[in-house]
Amino acid sequence: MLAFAHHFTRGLTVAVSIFLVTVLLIPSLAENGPNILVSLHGPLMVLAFVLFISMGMAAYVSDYGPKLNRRFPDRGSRRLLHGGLQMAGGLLALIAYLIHFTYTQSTAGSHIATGGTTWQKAHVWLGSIALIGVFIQACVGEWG
Amino acid sequence: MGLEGRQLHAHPTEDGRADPIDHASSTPLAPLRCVSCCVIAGFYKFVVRQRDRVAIMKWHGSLGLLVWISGLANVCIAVYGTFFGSQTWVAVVAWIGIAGIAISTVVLVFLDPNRPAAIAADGDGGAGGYSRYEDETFMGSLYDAGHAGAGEYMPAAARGSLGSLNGRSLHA
Repeated sequence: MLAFAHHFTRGLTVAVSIFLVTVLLIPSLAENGPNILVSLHGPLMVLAFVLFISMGMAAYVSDYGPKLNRRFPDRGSRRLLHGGLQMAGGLLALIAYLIHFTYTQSTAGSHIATGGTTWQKAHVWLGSIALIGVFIQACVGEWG
Repeated sequence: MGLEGRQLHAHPTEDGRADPIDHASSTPLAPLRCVSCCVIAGFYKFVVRQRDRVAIMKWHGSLGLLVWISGLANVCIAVYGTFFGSQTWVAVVAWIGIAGIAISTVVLVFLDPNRPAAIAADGDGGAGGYSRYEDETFMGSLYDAGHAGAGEYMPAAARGSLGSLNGRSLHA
């Protein structure tokens, strides 16, 4: 039962990530305009927070099947796996942020969604908090 | 910063001796250099701590949960702004999926009901040895619960070495 729960969670994580990346990316690719790069912001953030960081959260307890469990048999190896997944997620989130930051800079837009809708302002501020949190967590995880 | 760190920034003078003045801070690349040094030193320290099995800060797990939830909530907000109204079904499917990930991951990691059985099965042995890094916080206790089911699919020695993200021993 517990093994099924592990497989279900991992399958759901991968499925939702693929779904979101697809629905975000396909319309952007069809446009093929100059803003093609900024359209990667969403998919990269999805890969970071929905896929990598979620799997990194569960890395200590996940049942990966007999073969992978033997490869990550103890706390030390699981911690390395956790760190690796979180680091990958953090880097993807940073790249996604820089892509959007560069786009906003080049279009002389507001970095804090001044004049934007409520959801845009909420997205900017919550995203900033999350990104700062990821940076702090990476530092704590490495130095702690 | 120790002697090694200072030497990284020391530039040789005309007579070949190391210049004790930190010229690096006056160059445009100084911040990048400092960040690079910190990252390299951080990785090194991470590996050393791994080897020595030293636990990380107590609140790493609690803050990590908050950051992760913030990130998922932000994805939900972005989905609302992008799809709600035009392709509402996409937004609904995404919200349900993200909620499912959050709930199932939290349940697996924090609220595994088999933890007492796993502790009993492990006994007092194992390769853990983390008991000197006690974490009595509420979130620490919750996180520890996630390691309960480990015994179902991991060898006994591995079970003993699994502790928690917050450094509390399974046998505490």
